[in-house]
Amino acid sequence: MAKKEYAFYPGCSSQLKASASNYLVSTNSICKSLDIKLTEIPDWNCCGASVGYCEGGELPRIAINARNFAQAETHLPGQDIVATCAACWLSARESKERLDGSAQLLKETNEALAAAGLHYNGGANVRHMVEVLIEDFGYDGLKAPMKKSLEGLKIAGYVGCQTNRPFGIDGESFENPMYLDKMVETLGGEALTKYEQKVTCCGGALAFSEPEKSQKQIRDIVESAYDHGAEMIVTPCPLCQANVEVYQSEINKKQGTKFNMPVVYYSQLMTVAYGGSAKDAALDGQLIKAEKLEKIAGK
Amino acid sequence: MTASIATNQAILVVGGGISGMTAALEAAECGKQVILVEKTPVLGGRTARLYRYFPKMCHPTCGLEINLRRIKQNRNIRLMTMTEVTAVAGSRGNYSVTLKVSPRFVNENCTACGKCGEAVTTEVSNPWNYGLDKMKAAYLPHNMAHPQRFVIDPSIVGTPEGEKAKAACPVGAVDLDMKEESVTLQVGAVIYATGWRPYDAAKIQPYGYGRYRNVITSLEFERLADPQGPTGGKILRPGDGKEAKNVAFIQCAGSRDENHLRHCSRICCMASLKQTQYVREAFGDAGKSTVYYIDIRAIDRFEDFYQMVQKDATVSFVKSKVAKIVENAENGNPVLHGVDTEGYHRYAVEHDLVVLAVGMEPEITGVKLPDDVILDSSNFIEGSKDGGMFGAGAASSPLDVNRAVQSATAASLHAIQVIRKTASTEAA
Amino acid sequence: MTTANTNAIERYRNNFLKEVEANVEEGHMVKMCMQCGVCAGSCPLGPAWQHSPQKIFMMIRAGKRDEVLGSDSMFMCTSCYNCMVRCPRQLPITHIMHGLANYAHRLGLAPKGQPTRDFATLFWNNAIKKGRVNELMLTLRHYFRGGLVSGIKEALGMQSVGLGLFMAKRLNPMEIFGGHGVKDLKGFHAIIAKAKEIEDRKKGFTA
Repeated sequence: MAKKEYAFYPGCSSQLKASASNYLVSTNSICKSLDIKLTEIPDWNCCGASVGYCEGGELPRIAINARNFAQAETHLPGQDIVATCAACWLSARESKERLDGSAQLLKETNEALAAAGLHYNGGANVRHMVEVLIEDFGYDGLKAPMKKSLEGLKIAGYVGCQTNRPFGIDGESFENPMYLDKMVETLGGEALTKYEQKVTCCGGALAFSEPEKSQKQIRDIVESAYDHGAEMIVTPCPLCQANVEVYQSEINKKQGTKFNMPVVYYSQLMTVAYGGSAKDAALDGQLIKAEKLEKIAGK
Repeated sequence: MTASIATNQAILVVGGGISGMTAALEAAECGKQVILVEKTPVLGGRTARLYRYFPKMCHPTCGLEINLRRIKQNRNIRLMTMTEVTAVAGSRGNYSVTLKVSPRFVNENCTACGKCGEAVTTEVSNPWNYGLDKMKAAYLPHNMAHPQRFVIDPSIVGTPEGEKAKAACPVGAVDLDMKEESVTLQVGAVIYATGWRPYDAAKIQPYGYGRYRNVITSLEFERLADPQGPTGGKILRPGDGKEAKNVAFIQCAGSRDENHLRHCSRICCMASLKQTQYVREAFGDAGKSTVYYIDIRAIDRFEDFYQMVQKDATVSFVKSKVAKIVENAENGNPVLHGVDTEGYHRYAVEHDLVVLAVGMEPEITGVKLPDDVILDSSNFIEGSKDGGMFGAGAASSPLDVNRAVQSATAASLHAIQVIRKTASTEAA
Repeated sequence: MTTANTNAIERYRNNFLKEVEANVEEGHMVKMCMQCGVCAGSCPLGPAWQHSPQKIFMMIRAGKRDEVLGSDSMFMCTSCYNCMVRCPRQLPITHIMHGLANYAHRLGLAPKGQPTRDFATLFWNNAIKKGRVNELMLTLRHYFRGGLVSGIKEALGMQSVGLGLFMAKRLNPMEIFGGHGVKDLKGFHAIIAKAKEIEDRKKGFTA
């Protein structure tokens, strides 16, 4: 397989010792197995996230995303920009589409970029890591480096919102996307395809500001996974992962539930299936230990 | 095959539903020669598969029978079933059309005695009931089929099953050696009466059609109510065969939606209002219909019908586009979620069965038509640049049966004018 | 009352729809709403809203400026995009909600102490300070927003979570001393300042 190269946009939460560092570590592991070369966009900045709307406004948010595009265009010409974080991908892609759709906006954005001596020519192609895996490698391609099967693991594929709407993965439906299930099956695991909370919102940033309201969402997401006999939840989104994993103990405390459902990234499942250790998969980064996955990794 | 009557004086009518039959008859009864081609083995189209018409609640058999008799009696119409148009060349007054005729494997000797159907055991999905049940692979599409001639499904040709059908035929009508044919004809004008198809309900993902068995389309509901349908006219839901007494109708299922069909399909409001009366007919006061709508579009004289249904105590109306359906895993009931915009009440209501009032999509969507044909933004046929090809009925606009017939008559008159002009030019 | 607000009232008088079209992100799409209600039914926080999106669109058309801009409804948006993908008129509802919240916030009309308004402000300021989010400071500032005492209480309530993340190497205590950021911070800030200047001029926040 030819080496594939991408301009990597890791995002704030993927930093070492940040909340999604386990996502970054495991992504690096699978890239090694798949012979993918990720080069960080030099001096990238925060995407502003959705919740940036209140203070950030429209043009400043688009401008900071365009700054990343300009950096990628200059330093990594011809490479697709790839984000692992759902919010980064969404903000970047949304900015890109707005800029593509309005010459006026592009002009104003470049006026802002000029303040830092930068210019965006409009050539960015923004993709999510999952798109790269499915479209550039395909499910068969993802099977190739497999050393172990995740046989016997019952996994609920929790897709969440922002990798799914409004753009989503090409060819998938907003209400019942199947790609996580297909990935799980590719790796030999048992996908709980009837899991009905797969696109329920975890509350997003409101997990901080409106804990009661979002914890109701999270409760549904975890409860349904239990109902379907899941042993763990898999997700492509750092905020989904953090919210659904972190707040289980809070919900237990407040509502007397006994949730203890591991929530992992697809990249962690893949790392283990590709023969990586628990450390390669950053399973030590789980608040709720994914013991069954650790066991397979240890075999 | 020779094309004896086809000249540039002839009119080609594509599609043998109510519009195509009407267009063909109007022209033929004015003395014009007509070639009427139909893709399926029978005439009647979607209309033949309705249980009742609105607003008079009569059965389609009545109107169809009259038209079929007119067609049988008229020597100016040449009917070709199982035939599709594959190419149209030339221009107004002088088209050369290529037709593909699929084999029926049954010739004109057939007396529709049914012995071939009795002989075979293979079953195939029954398109006349929208796939709700199965039928024998040697079949008469439905009781009113014209031509009254059986069809052998290609899947059993070349198998022992096919041979069984052949052996069972007392008049030697089964001909398993029939081949697909290509025919080229000259015509002066073309009327596209290609009709419509129900929008693919599975694409309206929040409603779970295809995932939830008790969510069906309005066309399927017609078949459930019809005594000739898969349940013998009983309203039994597909999930468990239970009587569906509490039925939800969801309007604009695919219509008026930029994500699906951008046009209003016009018939669905009246169709659902009509179907609430099927529920009443089946269960009396024990039936319950709820219509979820954005706004009810019962135009001109149909307002009476709407008012009549509004007075029916078994029918209620909720002004709301349903946001999503989930299935109650215990009893298979669909649960509808949304907000009633009259008062902004949030609801989560369980029903026995959900009927999606699916929109009309032109049947030619995705089909390559001659470059000259002009389509609107929803793929309805507006006409042609050269003025020699016309849309009729639901191919031209979302129309009910009554308006489709009017539209077909108009298209026929246009086509006759083209033929007359061609004739006078040639005479000069 | 802010000057921008006084100016806006003066300029648009009774035409709130026009004001929204001119000054709110994607505001020009508001008039496309046909009041079907699918957004309201699709929102995961639906029961928490005082006014659902389609109701807000109707209120805008009805000129209910104070009720809309003073409402906390827009701040209930979790940015899940459910409404947006289901809207039969393809209104970018999520963006309009964000835009309305931003506009109300900038005019000083949004409810004071609205938790998402405060958190969102905190988030943006945190992100642009260094160009990347400092999750520790974001968390601490959020919990201490109501003052020291309530902050300690709230943070203690969540300390098992924080400790867990720390043990799992997913929360870095060293970030209190700065944390990661972009190198060309000056340029980054210059871009934002310029973008804000252009936007403020267009939306009537500056003359």
